[in-house]
Amino acid sequence: MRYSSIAKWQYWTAIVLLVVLSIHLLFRILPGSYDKSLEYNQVRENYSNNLYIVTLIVLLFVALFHAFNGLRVILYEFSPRLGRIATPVILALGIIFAILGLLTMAGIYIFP
Amino acid sequence: MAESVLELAIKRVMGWFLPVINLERVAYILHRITGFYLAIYLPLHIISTHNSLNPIAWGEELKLYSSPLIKAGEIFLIFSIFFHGLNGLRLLLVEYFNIFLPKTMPSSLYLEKILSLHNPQKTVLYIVYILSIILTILGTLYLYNILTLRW
Repeated sequence: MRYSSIAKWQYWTAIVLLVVLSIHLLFRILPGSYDKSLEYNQVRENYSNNLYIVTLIVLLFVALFHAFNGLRVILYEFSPRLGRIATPVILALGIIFAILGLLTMAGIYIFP
Repeated sequence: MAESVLELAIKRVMGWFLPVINLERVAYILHRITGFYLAIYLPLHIISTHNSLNPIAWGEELKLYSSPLIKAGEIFLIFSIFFHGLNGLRLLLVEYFNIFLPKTMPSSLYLEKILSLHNPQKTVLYIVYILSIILTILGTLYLYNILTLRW
């Protein structure tokens, strides 16, 4: 893949993130206070909302791509060699954290 | 005598940065720092929310969140989210969609003048700074439960 097309991916994931992350943060202020939004039942209730689960899955993948690709870009700017070496490591880490996030959502969705 | 040598050294070091330190450059540096901070936060957030599968583990998690060090980290997190988001939106509009560009490009021979932003880009950058500071203050008040909402 050409570098320029990966740069475009960074822009388009940014646009998606602006929308999806706003919804995610809205769910933190909807319960009315910070402490309330962190209560165990409140946290689990959020996951039982079908539309919100879809939002979270999109957020998980898009945020991981944007964040880890951003780290890769910084490494490439330091030295292209470092960037090339780090790419498979960053890809592997991204897959691991995506699976962990999906496991959390699946666990709560299946056993509410 | 020792003081004057130190002063001279500080002046020399500052001299490297002063001609190029302006709000655009600060925004560039801050975008990198906040982006790096958010990229480190994201995996930690995925790991910590995994504890919501278990009520006892979640209780331990909440105890951790109330420590002052984590609170300080969260205040910088709030600033990072708003600054990176708003500045990212500005960069998208200017660089990708070519909105807010000056009508005529500056014809100055001075490199610094060509490189620095021109209106309306400059105004948009100021709005980004002001909005992110206001939102960080509101977010911090919400973090300490000083600000609560009733729907």
